[in-house]
Amino acid sequence: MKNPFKFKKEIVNADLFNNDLPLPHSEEYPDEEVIFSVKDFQFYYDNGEKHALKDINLEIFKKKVTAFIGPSGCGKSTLLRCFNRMNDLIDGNKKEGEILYKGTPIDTLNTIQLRSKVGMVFQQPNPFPMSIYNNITYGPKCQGLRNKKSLDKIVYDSLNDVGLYEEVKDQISHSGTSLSGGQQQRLCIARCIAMSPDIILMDEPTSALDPIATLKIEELIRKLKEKYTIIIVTHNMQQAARISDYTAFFML
Amino acid sequence: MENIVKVETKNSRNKRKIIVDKIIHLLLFFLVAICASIIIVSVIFILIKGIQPFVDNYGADGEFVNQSLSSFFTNSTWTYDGNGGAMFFFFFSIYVVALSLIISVPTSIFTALFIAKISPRGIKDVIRTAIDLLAAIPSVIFGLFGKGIINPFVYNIAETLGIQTFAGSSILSGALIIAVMSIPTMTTLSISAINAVDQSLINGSLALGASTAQTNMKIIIRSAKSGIFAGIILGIGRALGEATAIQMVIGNSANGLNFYNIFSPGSTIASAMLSGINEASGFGYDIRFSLGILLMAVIVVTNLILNAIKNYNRDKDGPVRKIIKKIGGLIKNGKEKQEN
Amino acid sequence: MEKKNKKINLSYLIERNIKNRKYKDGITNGSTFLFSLLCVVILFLVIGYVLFTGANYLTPGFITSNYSQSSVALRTPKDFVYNENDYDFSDLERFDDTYYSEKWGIGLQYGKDNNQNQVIYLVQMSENSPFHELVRRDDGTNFNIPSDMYLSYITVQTELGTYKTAFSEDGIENMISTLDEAVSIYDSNFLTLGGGISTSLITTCYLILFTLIFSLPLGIGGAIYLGYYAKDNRITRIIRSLVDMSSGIPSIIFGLVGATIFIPFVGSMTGTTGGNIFTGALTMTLILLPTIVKTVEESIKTIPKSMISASLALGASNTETIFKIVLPNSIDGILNAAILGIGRTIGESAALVFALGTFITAAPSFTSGNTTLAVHIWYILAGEYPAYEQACAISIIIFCVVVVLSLSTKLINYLFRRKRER
Repeated sequence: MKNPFKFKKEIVNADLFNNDLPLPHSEEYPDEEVIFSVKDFQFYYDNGEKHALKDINLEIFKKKVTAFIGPSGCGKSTLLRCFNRMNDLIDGNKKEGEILYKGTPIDTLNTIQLRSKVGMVFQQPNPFPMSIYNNITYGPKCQGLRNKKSLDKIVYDSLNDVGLYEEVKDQISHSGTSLSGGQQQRLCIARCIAMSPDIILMDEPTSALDPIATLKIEELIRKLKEKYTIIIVTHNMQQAARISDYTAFFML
Repeated sequence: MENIVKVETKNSRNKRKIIVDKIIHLLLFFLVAICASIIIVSVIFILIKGIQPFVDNYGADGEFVNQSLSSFFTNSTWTYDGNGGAMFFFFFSIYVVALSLIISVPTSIFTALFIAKISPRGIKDVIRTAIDLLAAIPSVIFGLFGKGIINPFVYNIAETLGIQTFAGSSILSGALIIAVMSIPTMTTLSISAINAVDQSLINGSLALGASTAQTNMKIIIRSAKSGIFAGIILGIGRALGEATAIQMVIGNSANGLNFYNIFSPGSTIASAMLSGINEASGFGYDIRFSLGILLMAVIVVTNLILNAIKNYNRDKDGPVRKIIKKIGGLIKNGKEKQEN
Repeated sequence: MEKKNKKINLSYLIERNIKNRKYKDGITNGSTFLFSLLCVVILFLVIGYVLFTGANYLTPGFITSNYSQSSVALRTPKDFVYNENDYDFSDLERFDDTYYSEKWGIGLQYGKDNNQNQVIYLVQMSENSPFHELVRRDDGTNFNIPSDMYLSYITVQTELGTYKTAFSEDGIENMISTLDEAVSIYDSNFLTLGGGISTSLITTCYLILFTLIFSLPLGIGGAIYLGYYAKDNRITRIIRSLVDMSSGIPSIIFGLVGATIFIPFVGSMTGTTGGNIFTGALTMTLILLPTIVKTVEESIKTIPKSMISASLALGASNTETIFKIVLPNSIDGILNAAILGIGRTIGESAALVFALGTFITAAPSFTSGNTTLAVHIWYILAGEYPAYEQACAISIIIFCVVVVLSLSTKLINYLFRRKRER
């Protein structure tokens, strides 16, 4: 448990809110703009006893789908969770090297800023036990948005983007947990989009779903890559082939 | 061959074993039946004894005196002449517990949150131990504490406000002591409810850019809501049944129903059963059993109502929803009829 | 166009929010901390109040003496004549803190009664002291002054034939000078320390003993049935919910039950009227049973199913399995249940007021009304002049027991968890 009374010094980089910020081009793939670059990254669990990630060098390209594949336990999810610093929550973690987000090391960034720009969708659909409307407005409300009209607009837009609006428009005030598994997962994606992030991290988003729901999510990912950069962890080679532009293969 | 020891199973011994088994099984069932029948026997005996004051004759000199049923439920002045009404105690039981909730509910929820999610390890153990010890202190010591500390404290507050009190014995003191006594129960249950919140929800909230404090307030408390509510229901049940501590601090007045002056003395059902027991005999003793029936009824009804509220959101076809739907339907029908 | 507006709007909000967030979060976290601090403060207030008020009064005399005060009035026999030459007090050992009356051969010492007032004790008497000849004023029989009685006042006849009285409040010097003038002792009053708790303490111990004797077999038996035999059918569910429900009933109701069922029942068996230790213990059994059943059943359920199956597969009968596998492995639950029972019995007041009574008697008795420490507190606070100090002194005793019990629960859980992990 971290000390709640100790304030860690973190900076807020206002430039990162600018979506039109010019990004450097990759050396290997000169057509692509680099949004995340991982340099000589090491990650340890259990106070350095378990070496989970070793010498990772990787570039993530803007508005492209990057898939992480590899055997289980190879650290795909660990790396994914490093991008929005969710691993900070685990006691005894240790990292070396750096991850740059638009050229800024993420460890110097405020976690709130980072996480509102880097959204995440989890393996299990995890809608909050509140209404669909409140599920989507949760993020913006946490940032202090109170204007009813803007909130309505955000809900409409994000539900539309994930193709859920037509399905749930009559039960928008019902609990998010009353939806089916596939709908719940799309709700979680909508919740993510509502924050208008740059990047969406997806941690095996279809592994808990049936084939039809999986297909819908894959379609959605293809659609979303026009607006967002997507990193997806998957066990399924075919899925990676179907949806990704670039693939990173992890070895044990 | 000589080294092998052969275990012989004798039929007669096995038969005896089976008989012993059956006897023990029956005996244990008998014991558990006793444990289970306690509540039934208790309720029956209290009912029999509690109905007596309404039926039997307590008058001397050929006069017929018993407790009047109508005044028991309508009168708000308590007397021992047969016309006393228990409404005074009934209202104050509810009122004191409601007042105590204002203090105990936020305190327990926030303390539970602090212990479960915020506190560093060392402080956590200290507060946890403090809560455990508070839970272990008997109610008579809380009564002593209330009489020795809370009553003078309330007296001083009233003094500065210019209100006269009966040496600080008041509804406020009762509510304060009840709040203190119900905090451990509520906190312990809230801690387990908060610990049971799915980590994936917390991760989901954090990944959306909410801070830890926002996650605590908006997600954890909301998700642990039903467990916390169960703790509150248990606390309310205990508070309603609490007799000794309340009886020592509340002033035990028998009339003067008012809700605006929390510095005036009052009396709850349980405290009325206890106060003056040393001098009680005959009617004055038996009527306490009638109050006991009332107390049990209040606790059972409160529990039912609170549980129905708790399940309101979960059961789509729960009894409360049905009733509300029915009432809604009736109103709708009435409106349509009026329009027609 | 509108989409763009929205985005800029949110970015601006996030930027502004991050700056305020730390302070807002600090305030929220701080307030939860303040609330938990409140709990600790309350505990310290309770403990502090009880300790500061009661610590001085918790003396050995307080614990060992009776609540009621017994007195005896003594005088010298009617034919007593004081003759200085008859007495030789050389056998008296002299101590610094003791005052001696050379004329009567006695040593007096200051002491304190249970209200912390100064009183005088007769601590030494010479073999030849005329005080050995003192007789009761009422029937003239000889009386040996026990060491736990203090001297309240003494009235003497002087050589001139006048009477003079010395009170213990006026000090030892005054009393000795009065004695020096005396030729005979006309009246002297010896008192035991009153306001003590010895009876209540012993009664509490008896009550705990009998409560455990009644409730543990019943509770453990019920728990074994529920944890070992019971199948998941309707009867079991009904039994379970009935046991659950009885744990929600307030103890004062069980007090009423005890008063209506057990007082007549025990009365018809032994010829007693009113509450006594047995009615109290039976009532406490009602209160404790649901908790004991739950605690022991929980512990039985943690026994691995495979262990029970192995025992049965080796040809052991159910009875043998219960006594050789189930009971030894649920010993921590049984101990915890017993500790819980002791704690509840010590602290219970409301139910015992009805089922045991509030009479503070001179000696513990199995046939008449008695009282426990908790009811004792309630009783001495209920009067016109509440005795806070004594109440706090008793509370210290109860509190110490409660702390020891809760520590031993933790210790038991710790030890057995370690044993299980091995």
